[in-house]
Amino acid sequence: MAIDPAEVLRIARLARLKVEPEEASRLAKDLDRIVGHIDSLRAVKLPEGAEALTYFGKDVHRPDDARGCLAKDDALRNAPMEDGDFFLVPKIVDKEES
Amino acid sequence: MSELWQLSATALAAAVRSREASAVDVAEAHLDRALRWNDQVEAFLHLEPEEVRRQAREIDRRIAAGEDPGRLAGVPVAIKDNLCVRGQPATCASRILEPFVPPYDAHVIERLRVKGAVLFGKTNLDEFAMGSSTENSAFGPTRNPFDLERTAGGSSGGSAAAVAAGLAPLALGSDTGGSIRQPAALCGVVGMKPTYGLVSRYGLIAFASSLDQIGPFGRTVDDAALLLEAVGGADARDATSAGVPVPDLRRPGDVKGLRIGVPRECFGEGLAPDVRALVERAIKDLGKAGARIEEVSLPLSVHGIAVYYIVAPSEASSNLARYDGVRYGLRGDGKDVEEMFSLTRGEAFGPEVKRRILLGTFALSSGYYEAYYGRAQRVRAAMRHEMEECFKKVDLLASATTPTAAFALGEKTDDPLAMYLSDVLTVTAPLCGVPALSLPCGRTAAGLPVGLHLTAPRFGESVLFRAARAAEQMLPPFAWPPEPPR
Repeated sequence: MAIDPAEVLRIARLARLKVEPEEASRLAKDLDRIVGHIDSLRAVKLPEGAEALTYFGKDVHRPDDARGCLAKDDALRNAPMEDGDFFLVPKIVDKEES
Repeated sequence: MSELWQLSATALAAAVRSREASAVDVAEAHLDRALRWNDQVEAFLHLEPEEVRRQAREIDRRIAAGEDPGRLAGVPVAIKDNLCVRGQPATCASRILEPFVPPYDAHVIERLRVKGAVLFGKTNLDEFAMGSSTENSAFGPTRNPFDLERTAGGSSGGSAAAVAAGLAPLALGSDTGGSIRQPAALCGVVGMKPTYGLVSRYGLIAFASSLDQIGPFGRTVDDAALLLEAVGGADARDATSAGVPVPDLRRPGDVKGLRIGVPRECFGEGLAPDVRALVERAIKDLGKAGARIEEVSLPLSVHGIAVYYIVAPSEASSNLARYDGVRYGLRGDGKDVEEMFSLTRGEAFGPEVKRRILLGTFALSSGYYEAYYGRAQRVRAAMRHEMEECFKKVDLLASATTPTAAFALGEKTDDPLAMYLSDVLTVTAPLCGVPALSLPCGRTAAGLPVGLHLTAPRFGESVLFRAARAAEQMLPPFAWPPEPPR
């Protein structure tokens, strides 16, 4: 599978990651080589019905009861923008749509 | 009489508890050294002398009051900067977390406080622990104390270099594909990755959650064991915590009757002749001490790097989605929320982190998931099965930790794939969830340390430390790097 700059920009859009066009061609070259290496896995012979590893441990559940968590002030302390009660972000919903 | 900074953690704790030395004296000896060396080695991103002194005074106060502060009384422990310490920065060596100050302690930090340790600064790493040389740190690379033009390894290069140079007797790191063991080998110290689930990751900033594990660095096997005993054990706040206590790591070194497997695949081309010679000699010594050495084969392990570079970036692309400029870290501009996400991440992540987010997003994206992530996890399950079968025949595996000794800074920065391949001998253990340890086994002609890598079955820490202790007794003792120019 060849990765070209257009594919890099498509993936970058999915990852919400701004990539400049000149960066995209360098990244395409790097990713193409790396994917070329990992494509070697296609040739690995696995037993019929081989399952994927999903988890090492056991299924863990805890009782559904209230527990302590970060105090509001602590949770907000690192926020780039907040108003004392909420995290603030740029507008998400357009006026026309709301 | 040795200087305080030269003593092992075990000896320091004993001296502090018996009031032969004060915790403040111990702290000052290490601060003096760290403040003098750090300009050259760049092991620490953050070190607050006053905070170190405050903790040390508190230990001395408790001892004066007749209390026992614990098995790590007054011992300075350096902390990799992807672990949360309440009130101290946790940058992950990334611009995006530069302003972040955690409001809570990681589980391992709580444990260290309970045991009387002195938290001694935050150490350098590759950004978000992604790398093998610390050259991906947004704040500049750590240098190898044995040769300042060479890498200390990575990603926990700052922790390894700090312990090797005597800036701290102990350090915590995290290991996802080799990030404790590889820098330990390159800096000539002991580094250990525990069984997946033995140490709680609560408060470890996540990279690849099916692989990440916190582990110890020390200059001796005893010291590494002391630190693992302090931080390991059950924690309900980490759903992957196995809920088991750390087994007894204090059994004396002995390999009599142990079956040690030497995987043929670890001794192929790419292993430097000087590294091979030292490791083969160490394995032969284990044989002379009574271990049964036999060649084994792990045919699937040759696919470790390919599996790792699908699984780890895929999980990273998901874990790092949280850095969106909303709850913590930097925020970019943007006329709407989507542009703000994209600019924040595009401007504040470094090149390797971007590469891995893109690689992981690609491997998980619609149409490719089955061919990449699904395939990799199937090969990984088969690798794990192969490893379990192998451990029915042998008790431990032995190999080199790294294919070469420390490489020059800049040597691999333009070639990500070459950098990835430096993890070739360490990725198998985390992919299979098993514990592994690197200990120094000699130096190359150029004076660079080489590591012997021992791997045990899941929760086989007891036999792993027992064999490492035996190997340590036969191998050349830890040797200090040259003193820095004043």
